[in-house]
Amino acid sequence: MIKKLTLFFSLLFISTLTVIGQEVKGVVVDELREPIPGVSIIIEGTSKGTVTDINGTYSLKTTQKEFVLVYNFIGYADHRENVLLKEGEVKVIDVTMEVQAELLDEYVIVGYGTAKKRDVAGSIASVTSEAIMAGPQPSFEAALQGQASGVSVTQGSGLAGSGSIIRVRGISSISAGGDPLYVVDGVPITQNQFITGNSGGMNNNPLAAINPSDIQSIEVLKDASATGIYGARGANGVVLITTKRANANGLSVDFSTRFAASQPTAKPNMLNTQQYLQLYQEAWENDGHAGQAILPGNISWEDAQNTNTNWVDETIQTGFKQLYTVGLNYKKNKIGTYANFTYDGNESYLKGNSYNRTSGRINFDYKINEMVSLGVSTSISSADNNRVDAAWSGGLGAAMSTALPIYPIYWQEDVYEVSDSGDSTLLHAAGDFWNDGSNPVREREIKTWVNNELRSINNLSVSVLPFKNFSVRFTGGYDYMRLNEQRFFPSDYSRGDSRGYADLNYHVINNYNVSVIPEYSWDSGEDNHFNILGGWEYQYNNSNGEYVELQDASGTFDNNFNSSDTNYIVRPYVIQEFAFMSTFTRFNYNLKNRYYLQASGRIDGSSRFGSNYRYGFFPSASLGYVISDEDFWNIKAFNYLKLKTSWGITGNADIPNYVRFASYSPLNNGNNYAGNPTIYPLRIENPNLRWERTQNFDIGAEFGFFKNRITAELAFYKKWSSDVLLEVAVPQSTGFDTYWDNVAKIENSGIELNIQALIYDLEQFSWKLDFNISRNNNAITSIGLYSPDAVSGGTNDTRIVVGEPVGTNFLVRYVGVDPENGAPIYLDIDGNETYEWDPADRVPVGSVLPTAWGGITNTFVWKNWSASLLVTYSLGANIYDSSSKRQLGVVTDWNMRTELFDRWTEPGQTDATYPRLTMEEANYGSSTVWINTDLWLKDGSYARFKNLTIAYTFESIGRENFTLSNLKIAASITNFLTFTNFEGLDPEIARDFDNAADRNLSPNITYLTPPQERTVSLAISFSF
Amino acid sequence: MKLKISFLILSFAIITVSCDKMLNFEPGDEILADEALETPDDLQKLLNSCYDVMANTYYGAYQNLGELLSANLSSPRVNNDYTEVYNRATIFFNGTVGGLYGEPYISIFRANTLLESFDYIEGLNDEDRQRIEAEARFIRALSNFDLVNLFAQPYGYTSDNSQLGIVLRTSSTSDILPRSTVAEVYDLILSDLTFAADNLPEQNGVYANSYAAQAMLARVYFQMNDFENAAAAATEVINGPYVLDSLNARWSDVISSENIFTLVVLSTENRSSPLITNYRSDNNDIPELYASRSYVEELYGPAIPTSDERSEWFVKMSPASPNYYYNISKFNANYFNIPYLYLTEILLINAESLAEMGTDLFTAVGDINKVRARAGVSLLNENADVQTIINAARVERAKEFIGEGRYVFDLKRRGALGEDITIRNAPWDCNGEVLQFPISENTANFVMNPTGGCN
Repeated sequence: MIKKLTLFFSLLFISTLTVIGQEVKGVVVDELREPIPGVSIIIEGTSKGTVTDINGTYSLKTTQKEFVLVYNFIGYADHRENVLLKEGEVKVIDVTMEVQAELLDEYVIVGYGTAKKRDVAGSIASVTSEAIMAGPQPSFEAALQGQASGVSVTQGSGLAGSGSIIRVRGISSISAGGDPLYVVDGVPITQNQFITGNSGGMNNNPLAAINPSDIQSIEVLKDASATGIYGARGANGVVLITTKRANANGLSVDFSTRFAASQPTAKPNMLNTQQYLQLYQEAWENDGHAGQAILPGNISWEDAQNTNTNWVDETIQTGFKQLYTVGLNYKKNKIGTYANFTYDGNESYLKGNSYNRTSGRINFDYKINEMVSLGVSTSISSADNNRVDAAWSGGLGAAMSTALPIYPIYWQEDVYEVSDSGDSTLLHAAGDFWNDGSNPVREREIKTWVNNELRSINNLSVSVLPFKNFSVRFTGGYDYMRLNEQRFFPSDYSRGDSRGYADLNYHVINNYNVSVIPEYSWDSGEDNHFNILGGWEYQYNNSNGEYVELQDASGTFDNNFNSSDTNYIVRPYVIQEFAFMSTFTRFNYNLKNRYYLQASGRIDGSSRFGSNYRYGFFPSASLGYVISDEDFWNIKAFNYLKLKTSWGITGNADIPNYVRFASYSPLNNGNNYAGNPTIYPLRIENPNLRWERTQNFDIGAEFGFFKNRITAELAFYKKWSSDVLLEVAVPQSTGFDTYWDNVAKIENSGIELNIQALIYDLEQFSWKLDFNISRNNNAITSIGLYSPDAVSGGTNDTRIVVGEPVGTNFLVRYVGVDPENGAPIYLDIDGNETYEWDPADRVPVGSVLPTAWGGITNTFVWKNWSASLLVTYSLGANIYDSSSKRQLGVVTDWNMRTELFDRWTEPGQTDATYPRLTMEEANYGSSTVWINTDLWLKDGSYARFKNLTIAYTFESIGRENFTLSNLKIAASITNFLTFTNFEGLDPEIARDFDNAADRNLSPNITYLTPPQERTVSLAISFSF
Repeated sequence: MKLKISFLILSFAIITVSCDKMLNFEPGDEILADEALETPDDLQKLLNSCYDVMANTYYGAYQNLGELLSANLSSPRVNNDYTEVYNRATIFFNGTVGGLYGEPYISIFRANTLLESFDYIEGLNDEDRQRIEAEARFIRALSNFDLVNLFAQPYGYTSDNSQLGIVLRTSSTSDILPRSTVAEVYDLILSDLTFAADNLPEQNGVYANSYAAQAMLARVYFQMNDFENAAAAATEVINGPYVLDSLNARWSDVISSENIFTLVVLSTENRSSPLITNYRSDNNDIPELYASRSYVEELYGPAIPTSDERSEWFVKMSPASPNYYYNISKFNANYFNIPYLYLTEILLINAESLAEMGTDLFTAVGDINKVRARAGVSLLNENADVQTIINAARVERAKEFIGEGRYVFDLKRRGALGEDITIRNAPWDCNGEVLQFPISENTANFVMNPTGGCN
């Protein structure tokens, strides 16, 4: 098969070539040894030449024997190569292009188009495919970390397929979704993190189904000038994902594979049996009991002492990952095709957990004639997420909490139950899973749990150019997503029910998008360049599905179950629909390629708002000025300076679909009184529900020094958000629990700096530095009449407090241990010391936001070797280690951590961190064992060696009609070294969330959250 | 050209605003409020839903909180929220208290919605209108009364009852409101109940009738120490069609002949009962809630059962151990109808009120003896003096209402009357005897209850 394919490709290849004379071939790369497609290669003094293909390879047949080749590519200095050939010789000439200092004419993707970076006055961060593919990631968006200033990326956990929290220039939403808008090839995609709620300690990540190797580039739009064109939904930034397309003539095939091993970045230090029994007995005696403590689960001391299960080791493993991807590029005349097939098997370090994605893509371009061209993008991916319980739900989370070292994994001997009449029945056979208490191994081994995610993102666009400088682009997008989550609990799962049980959780989300975008450019004289773009866009989304249960099941069932079988209990989900309709326009004026003006406006209508406030108008304007192009500018070392500023209004409407309606229960609501039917109100109407609005102001500058060997970009911004949507916990005396309303005001401000420097640029060696640093200040300026508890981040005690950032930790302050009696001392609301823990004494504490965060990338190239090191850092933020309150607080049925040995043991002891051990919350001055105090608020500053990649690229191997190029072997390690004072597992953490508000408010909380993974990988790639 | 583009964009804008239909999606499974209440039948269904809520509220969620504030129970075994209530230190995060607090207000919102909707219903006859209005006001009164008992100091705590009560809602708006005074709360309760008593039919199926409203009036006036009105209302009920039944008939799946207002529970419903789940002891030796030793031993002596049939509601567990305790068997069932108002209470209200007024002591003794006779207890002497009658009525109340969450309000009522009452060694009016409001109520205009002071 492979031979046939090779032959086929070779034939295709041959057909594009002439077969007489000599030949020069090779590969053209940039200073980072990345191939450059589209380089034009001309025999000097003739018009004969060729261009490089997608892999930077070229081949030129000629009858000449002595000539000069000129390699030309925009942004690079022309490279000249003297060539001397013998009759019939085939010569390989690989070329490294040098950056041309004066011009940096990179193109960037902007909303609804592309633009020269120089022409853009907005703030846009671009991330290349190399950075995205640098190492294994649970999901592609994690690769944005450390790459772009102003963009904070927190990888959630080490679970396979888990997502990251991305915040662009802070957060300006509370209850509405605070994530940026994700747009793939022009289609705003389904990005809801809560389709399956919070199951098993994980939120389903809809981005994980996207194949990272399909991605050409990711642009993050930050300021109003860039996001304004997405008006209604741009308030929290926009992430544009552009997939690869055929862009150079010829045919080439890329292949790459990667193998990796995964381990946790840190292991929890739980007590072993001997330590556990010591501390448990100490608490028992401290509480005034005599004799040996009654152990949890009624385990005898003898059994306990003979057991020492290390549950952490029982729930983790070395995970293996394997990636295979084949890409095909073909472009000739009017047709261009990019195709990709990828298998990504991604095991995490949690036993039983993997995310295995198979995906394919075809992007096809066809220029029908001079007037009409067609572009089709289609992708499909199917991913099996083999789930395990995590965090609060079990697995490693149980190993850190309820699974005690005194609990065995298996019954050690047969256990019989003796009835009153003396009959004995076997209850447990030796070797069966022990089930008298928490046993995460049993849970994992006997339960089946797979979530299959099928996703297809498709886009069709037709561009028509009826006359010069005028085009109309018609696009249609369809994003299909299906979740099929199946579980099976065999008959011995539960002691209460001897029947097996299976369920199916099935969701389908259809997301359609159509747009019409006319665009016209014209010049007036030599200096005045104009462009106007308009557009009409409609997005419609519907979702439905069902939940099916089967008692007496013998395995998982697929969705083709027999619906006439009454054993299946089917509960359809009610169809959910929403739509956006928008009209927009953008006007650009460029004077002398030196002064730039952009203005845009967008009218958005959303089905989520009532007729009073359905439509919102979102304008923006920006100015750019390349001052270094002025005649008076003659600072040689400082060759480029652009000043820019922008203003605009963006919005957010990411709320549930029907909350504006007052509604009543359906008739078949299942609630009757004395057999008589009922109807009852579900929600109060809010006809004035409207867009959250954020006013943005941005001022910045771009710098180039030493012919752009050093470039930098500095920006300041300020954002004022008003009408911020809250799902407030209304006074229950209204008869309702919550109500959606536009209540709050938030301000964000910040500063960002990016520096790129080519420190050494020698023939054999180069060193490039990328550095970025960001700071964001965020404060709520109003919450109306409500209290800080009106919107809460679940049980995390993160709240909305005027004058504090969104989701500030709102906690009782802990002073320390009373040296005399070992009791914890708190501060009351007035700052007086007290033994009583009272939630009325909660105050905002700690620092949710880092003082600064960012990334540093150093890239070294020496001959064919390259090395790249990414360091990410975050300084000055706190993490709330929420599970500590039970691991290090009142002794409960949880295991504890070794830090607890630093407890008070005798009067006069002044250096103890933790109070006298006790099992009684009253000794903590509390009526509850769950005591949130700022004792658990820890310094979360860190610097982390995120990724180190060392690669060797071989010279192209050229033979007759065949070139193997870009053969590259790369080894990389991720998360291999972390500098931090954080006492918990991983300072870079985001727990699982219950809803969007929780996600917005509690990104600095960890609760038994599995730490990130550390990976070692080896990758091989080549093209032919 | 530029003009054409501008025209094109303008026409897009027009399309966008004029294609409003493409942005109209209604919740598929719900009835929009505008269309929900159109016929008399719709009103009845909404009214039914109030009873549905009450059948949940009074299946133990309400009773258990009052009982925990009294001295009748031992400390709960596990339940953290209950322990807080028992310790008289509820915090505003107490989910059980918060959940209970919201329930009567759900009924109140629905009742207010009913009261505002009559003009929009076609085909509603006067009789139905009057009945539905009276039922809605009965439900509102009952809800407000039970809330103000738990969340405010009792009537009589100050001479003018200016102490803060609860939020009063008389319309279906969701404005953020401050607390009304206890005086204002009782004014509304009395006006609602008086209207209900005047306008409800004498017979009304499984729903509240005029006797229910009278019985409720008796309960409210009695709580106010307004003995004259309490006795008057009680007498109306006693003269009605209700007769005492066997001792445990109230807590069964049939509606007892003494029940004046019953919340019906069917075997087919999955109503969960905090009474059953927390007290039930026939399948569980260590239920969450069980009687205090002092309660059982002061009322029945150290050895049970006695000749008093009500002593059979208690089972002494581990009798030989110093750690013995008393389970309560009153709620040992899979399900039962909820006797919200029944004749026993009205007889005892009548007796104690008459005795307090010093009039018609013969009737008072007779009422008490009806209750005593049923329980197999020796009868009160016909010539008993006022104080003997009052004491006897109180003992009967303490015995009959165990687990029903009302006895603590008797203690507070007597405290307000000037008696020296302590509850588990704390004054009857210590802060923690009043439950804390849930945190959601804590808006700018709202005063939360003071805490502490009971330990």
